[in-house]
Amino acid sequence: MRARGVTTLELAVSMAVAAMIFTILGAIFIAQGRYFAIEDAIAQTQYNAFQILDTAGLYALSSSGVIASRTIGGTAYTTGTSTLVLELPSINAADDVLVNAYDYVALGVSPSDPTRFTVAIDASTNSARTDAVRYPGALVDKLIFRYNTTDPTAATAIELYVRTRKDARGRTILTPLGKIYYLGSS
Amino acid sequence: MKTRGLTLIEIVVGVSLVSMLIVVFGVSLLAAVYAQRIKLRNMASVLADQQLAALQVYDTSQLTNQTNGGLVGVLFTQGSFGTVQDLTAPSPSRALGAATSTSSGLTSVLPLPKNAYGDFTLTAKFKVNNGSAAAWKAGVLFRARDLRNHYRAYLTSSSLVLQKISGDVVTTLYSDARSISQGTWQTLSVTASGSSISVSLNGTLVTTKTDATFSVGQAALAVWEGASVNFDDVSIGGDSWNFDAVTLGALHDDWLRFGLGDLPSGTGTLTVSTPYSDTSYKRYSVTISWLDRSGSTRTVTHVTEKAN
Repeated sequence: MRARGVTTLELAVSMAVAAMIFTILGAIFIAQGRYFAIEDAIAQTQYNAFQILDTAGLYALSSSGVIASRTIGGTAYTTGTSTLVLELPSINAADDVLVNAYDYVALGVSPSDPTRFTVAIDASTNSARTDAVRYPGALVDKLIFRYNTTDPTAATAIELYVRTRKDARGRTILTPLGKIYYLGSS
Repeated sequence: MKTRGLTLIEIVVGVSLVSMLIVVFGVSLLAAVYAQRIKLRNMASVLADQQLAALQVYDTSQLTNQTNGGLVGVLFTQGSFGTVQDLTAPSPSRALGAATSTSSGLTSVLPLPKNAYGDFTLTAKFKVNNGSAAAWKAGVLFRARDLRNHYRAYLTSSSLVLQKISGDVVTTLYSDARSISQGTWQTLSVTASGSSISVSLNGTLVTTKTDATFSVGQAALAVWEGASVNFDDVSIGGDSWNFDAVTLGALHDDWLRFGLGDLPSGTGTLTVSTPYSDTSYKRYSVTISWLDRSGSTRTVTHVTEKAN
């Protein structure tokens, strides 16, 4: 049997069908990339917002009170709407409270990078906590501390508002979260 | 020339390819929808936890049983607030607009930036936009612990009212008859000093009352009955906001808060019950509800129990 070649029309039709399929596949691929980028941004903003709330809670719930200001590692931190300075009873390695010894923790955003949540710790000599500056959260867009008394140093409850932000494929993903901490209630 | 039809295998392959593409696309779309749904669920969970945490400072005897009642010890944002264009605003050309998708009761609440205002003068200029419900109310809450415990001063189309709400019991401290038209700017001012509370309207002192029930608390802008209201030139204790430099649709940075207003049509209820024969034991059940994109109501319920 003699094999027949492909006609110009058949070739044109198959090329048109192939082009259509690739166009659809391309559109799906682009749409998928966009969806995953947005999902990833949502996940990242949520993760960081929760991380910030949890970290603040870790210190606030074991704190004995708010203090007006403290210099830690050469940086002066002052309690206000953007910064919170807490006094915590020092603890030993067994988590027992040390008498008349206190650690100080400042929470806020990094002065050099306001998108990073910063925890600066000034620990007393025998404390199990150590002096450190840590960055447990990123993507910070807004961070606000509020107090349940007109004088923040008399506060018994602190409200933290945090909003994280990430831009993904032309969309801005914002995740606002907040929490009220009752000091020393851990 | 004899034309040949499609074979079964060609049809199966063709249909499979198309189905595959549709499934892949559908799955991606669903994943994005679920990511958003999970985000809202997480936010609702945080709000529910916040209410439960607030209840821990109350002795169980202080909370009476209720079913799907108001939240206690927290004052969340409610409804939708955002900066709007308003050329008639006292400080043109932007104002803070309140809107809501619900239409009865207290529909929009936006606490002022600080959580504690003791003695202060709070002034807010506002205009109820034309087309709002005839039963509109708009004004301020102050020295508020929650929506069940606070003072409030507000205007209606026919009166100025000053009330105390203590444990959900409403006591009217002052009320008068006057005509207030929609579409006109009003300046409502409240001065709280110790147990003295004075209310002024458009610069004229209307009343001074004495009540010592609440000495400190939050202050908030409030709108009832789904009215559309624009606020401008809000001031309290030396701070003031005219919203002119704020992006349309956004809130002033100082005013950002996490609350029910962050959920689409978000609402919250608290049920307090006595599940055991020992009545000092209470069960608290918090339900946060919101509407998803399809218009379905979604809820998150967190429950805890506490004994004295």
